Amino acid sequence: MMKILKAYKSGWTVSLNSKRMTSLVYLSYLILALLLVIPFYRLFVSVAGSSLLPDDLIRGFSATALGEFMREGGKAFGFYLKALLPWMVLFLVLGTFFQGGIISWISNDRGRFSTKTFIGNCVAYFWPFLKTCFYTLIIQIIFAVLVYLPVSILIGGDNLTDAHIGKTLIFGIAIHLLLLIWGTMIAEYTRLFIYRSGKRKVLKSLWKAFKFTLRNIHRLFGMYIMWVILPLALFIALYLIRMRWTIDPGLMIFLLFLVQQVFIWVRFLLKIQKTSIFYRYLVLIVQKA
Amino acid sequence: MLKKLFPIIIVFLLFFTSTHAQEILTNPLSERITEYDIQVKLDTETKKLSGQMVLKWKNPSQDTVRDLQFHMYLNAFKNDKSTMMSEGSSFLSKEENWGWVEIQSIIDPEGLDLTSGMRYLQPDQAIDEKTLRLPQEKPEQMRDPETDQTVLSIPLDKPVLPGDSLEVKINFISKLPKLAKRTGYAEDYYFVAQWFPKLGVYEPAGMRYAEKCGWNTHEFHRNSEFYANHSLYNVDITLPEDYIVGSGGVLQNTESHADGTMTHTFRAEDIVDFAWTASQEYQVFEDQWRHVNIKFLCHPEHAYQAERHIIALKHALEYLTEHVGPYPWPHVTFIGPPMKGSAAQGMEYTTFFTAGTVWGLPEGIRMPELVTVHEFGHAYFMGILATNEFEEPWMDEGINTYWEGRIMDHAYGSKTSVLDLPFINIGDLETARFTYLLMKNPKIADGYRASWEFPHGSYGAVIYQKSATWLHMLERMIGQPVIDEIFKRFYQRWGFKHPATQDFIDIVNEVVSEYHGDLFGESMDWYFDQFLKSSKMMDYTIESIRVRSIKEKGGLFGESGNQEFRESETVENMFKSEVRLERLEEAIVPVEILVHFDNGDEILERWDGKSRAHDFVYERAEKVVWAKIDPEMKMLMDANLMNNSYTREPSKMSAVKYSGKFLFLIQNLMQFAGIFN
Ligand SMILES: [Zn+2]
Repeated sequence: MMKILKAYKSGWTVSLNSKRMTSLVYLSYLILALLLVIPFYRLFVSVAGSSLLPDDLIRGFSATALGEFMREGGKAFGFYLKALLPWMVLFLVLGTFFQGGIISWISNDRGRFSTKTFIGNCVAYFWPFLKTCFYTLIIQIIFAVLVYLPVSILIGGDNLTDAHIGKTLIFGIAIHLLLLIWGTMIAEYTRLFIYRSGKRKVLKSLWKAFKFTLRNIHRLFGMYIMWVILPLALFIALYLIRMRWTIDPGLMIFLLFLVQQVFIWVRFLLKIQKTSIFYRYLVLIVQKA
Repeated sequence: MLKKLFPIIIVFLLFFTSTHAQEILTNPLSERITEYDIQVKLDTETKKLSGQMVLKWKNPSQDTVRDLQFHMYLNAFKNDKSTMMSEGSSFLSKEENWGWVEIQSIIDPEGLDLTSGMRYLQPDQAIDEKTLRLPQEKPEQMRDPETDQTVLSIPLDKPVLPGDSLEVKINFISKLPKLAKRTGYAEDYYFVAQWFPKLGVYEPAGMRYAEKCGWNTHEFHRNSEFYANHSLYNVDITLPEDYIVGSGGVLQNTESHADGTMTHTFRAEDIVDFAWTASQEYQVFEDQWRHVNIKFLCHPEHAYQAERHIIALKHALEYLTEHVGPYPWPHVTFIGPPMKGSAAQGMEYTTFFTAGTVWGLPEGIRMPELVTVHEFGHAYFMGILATNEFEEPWMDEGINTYWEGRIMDHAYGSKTSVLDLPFINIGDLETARFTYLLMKNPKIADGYRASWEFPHGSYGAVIYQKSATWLHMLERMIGQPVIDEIFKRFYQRWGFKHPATQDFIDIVNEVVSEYHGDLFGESMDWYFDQFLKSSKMMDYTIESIRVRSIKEKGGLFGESGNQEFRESETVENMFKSEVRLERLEEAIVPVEILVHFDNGDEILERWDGKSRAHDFVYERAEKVVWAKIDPEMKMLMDANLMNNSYTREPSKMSAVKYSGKFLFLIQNLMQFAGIFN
C-alpha cells in the first residue's frame, strides 16, 4: 500500500515538471489533426454557401439543419470520416515515437527539459517500441477473441431473452475492459524494461512485463484506479459544462473550444503521469529486491 | 318449497353460466353486420387450434348474395407458392414451422354441409413490371390459380336475400406457423392473430369504389394488412391452465377443467378483428385512464419498462380524445412480447395491440413509447374509421403516423421525441420527413395505390413517412384548429363505417372552405393530386440576391449627326435589389418569402409558385441582406431546405463550431489509439 501511494505521489511531482514536454507532444498531435481539420473547415464553409440554414447549427443541436446540411455535402464529408482510420494509425505511430523521450525524461526528471535531447531519445527507442506496439496489438486481439468468442457462443442460443443477451454482453465488455487495461500495462512495462535494461530485446522484455504485471496485478490496478479518477472527473465536468452553457453562442463556441483543448492537454499530462507512476513503482520494487 | 324453487334456480343458473354475454357497451357502436361465436382449443404440443364457430351475417345490400367469401390468412404460411411467400424471400424452413387453416365443415341453417363447393380465389394479379400497377387486360400475367389459398369462396345452397341474416356453423383447424408476420408461436409463447376463417366485407354498389356489389377480398400480401366489418365476438379459449391469456375482449369468465386446461371466455364489441395471446410468463399491470381500464401484459425482462409504456398510452388516449374524438370502449389490453416473439411486435387489433422494446434501452431512445402510441392510434385509424388497408394503406398507416408524430412531439418534445441522447436528438416529425427524403428514389411511387403495388421496398417510406409529412405540412398551412376540425368531422361522420380517400378529401375541402374561403383555391384537390396521388416533389430556391447601384440619364440623346453623349449618373443612396426565386421540382405550392433589408426592415412577400422563376425587385435606399422562403417552416415537403434562404453576408460561425467539434473528435480518437502503445 505504501509503495502505491509513494509511486502515485511521485507520479504527480514528475508530471507537474513535465508541462513543456506535454505541450510539445500536444502541439505535434495538434498539427497532425489540423491537416484534416483545416480542409474540413473550408469544405464546411463552401457547402454552407449563402444559405442561412447553417446558422441553425450554431446554438444547440438541430437534426433537421444538420441533416439538410449533410445531404448537401454528405459525400464530401464522408471522405473525412474515412480518413479517420489512417489518421489513427498515424497517431499510434506518433505516440509510439514519443515514448522514448517521455520515459527518458521521467527516469531522470531533474534538470531542464531540452527538445533536442527529447527528440534524440524518441529516435533511439523508436524501433523497439514500434515492435512492442505491434506485439501489444496482437495481445489485444487475442484478449478480444478470448472474451467475445465465448460470449458469442453464450448469446447465440435460440430461445434466449434480450435481457440475457444484454447482461452477457455487458459482462463480456467489463471483462474485456479489464483485459484491455492489463494489455496497456504490459505494453507500458515492456517499454520500461527495454529502457532500463538498455537492451532492445523486445520479446524478452514483453515476457518479463507479462510476469511482472501478473504478479503485481492488484497493486497495478489499485494505482490505475487512483490515476483514472481524475480524468474521469474531468470528463464528467466537461460534459456538465456543455449541458449548462446558455450564453452568447459565439462566446460559447470559443469557450467550449478552449475548455476542450485544455482538456486534451491535461489528458496528455495525465498519460505522462501514468507512465511515471508505473515507472516509480517498478523502481521501488526493484530497489527492494 | 325446495321442489318449487328448484326449476327456478336451474333457469337462473343456466342464464348466468351459459349465456356469457354480459354487454360491454350500452349501445352498439356499429351495425354489427357479422357476429362470431367461437370455441377454440389450443394444443400446445402440435401448435394446432381446433375451433367451432357460429357465424351470423346480415346482408347489408339490396342484392341477393349467393356465396360467402372468407380470408384464410394462415394459408399464407402454408408453402412457398402463397402470395405472401412469393412476394419476397421465404422465411419458414422446418416442417413444423409452416402454418395453415382448413374448414372441415360448414353447415347452413338447413343442416346442409357446404364444403363440397368450396374453392380458393386469387382476386389479385401479379403487378405489371412496367407500369408497376395491376395489369388491365393481361390475363397471361395472372398467377397460377392453384397457388394462393388465402381467399376462399363457399357457394350457398340458399342465397341470402337483401336485409336477411344467415347463420352457419363452421368447424376449422388452424396450425400456427412459427411466429412470423405477427402471428404464430415461438416455443411456448403464442400470439394468435388472423387465426380463424374470417368473413370478407360485402360492399353494396356505391360503397367506397364499388361499382357493382360484391365481396371485397384480397389475398394476404406481404405488405398488406386487413379490411373487415365491425363485429361482435364471443370467444372461448381453452388451453393449459398455467397460461396467462390476453385478448381484445373483456374477460367474462374462466373455468378450470379436470384435464388441467382452462377456458377463458372473452367478449368484444364493434372491433374489426379478434386476436389473442398466451404465455406462462406474462406479468400483468393494470391501470386506469378515465373510463378506460388499461391492461399491460409484459414479459418479465421488459417489465421494468411497464411504466414507460403505460404513460405513453395515456398520452395517446388523452391527445386523441381531445383532438379527434372519444375512445368508446372501457378497456384496452396491450402486450410486451419477449424477444423470441418479436415478430409479434407493433401490431394493432383495435382494443388490443402489441408494443415493442428491448432490454436495457435508455430513456432517451423512445422505442417503447413510439410503438405504443403508434399501435394504439390504430384504434382510431382503421379500428373506428375502418378503412380498407389492402387498397388504401395510406389511410391507416399514413394518417396514423401523422397522429403518432403529433402525440410524440407533444408529449416528448418536437426535437427529442424519438431520440434524446446527450449528443444527438431528433423528433418524430423530423424522422418522418428524413425517412421520405432519404429514399434512394423518393419519386418511385405515389401514395395512392394498393399495399402490394410498391416497388423495391418503398412501401414503408411512402405510406408511413411521406403521408405523415404532407399531412403535417397541410396542418401548418391551414392551421392546427382547422385540421383538428377535419379529423373531428371525419370521426363523427365515418366512425364505425368504412371511409375511402375521397370521403376524407371531401371533408378537407368542406372544412378548409369554411375556415379560409378560397384562400387555397376552389378546393384542396390540388394538394392531394400532387402529394398523395402523384410522386411529384417540391423544391423552391432562392437562386441569388443581386444588389446594384441605380444609373440613369446616360446614353446618346438627339438625332443622328447632332447627337449628344451624356455619361450615366449614379443615383445617390438608391439601390436596386433583386431576389431571384426558382422552382426546381414539379410540385406547385404557394410560398411566402421574407426579405430582410440592411436597416432591419422586413417585407413578407407571397408567390403563387407556378412559374419556373420569379423575381422580387426593390429600388430603395436600403439593400436587401437576406431572404428566406417559407420563414415559418410550413413547407415540410420542400426537399431541400439549404437552398430556401440566401444571404449576402454568410456567417462562418457554424463552420468554426463544427470544425472545433471535428478537431475534438480527432483528438479523442488519437488518445484512444494510445491504448495500443
Ligand atoms: Zn401502423
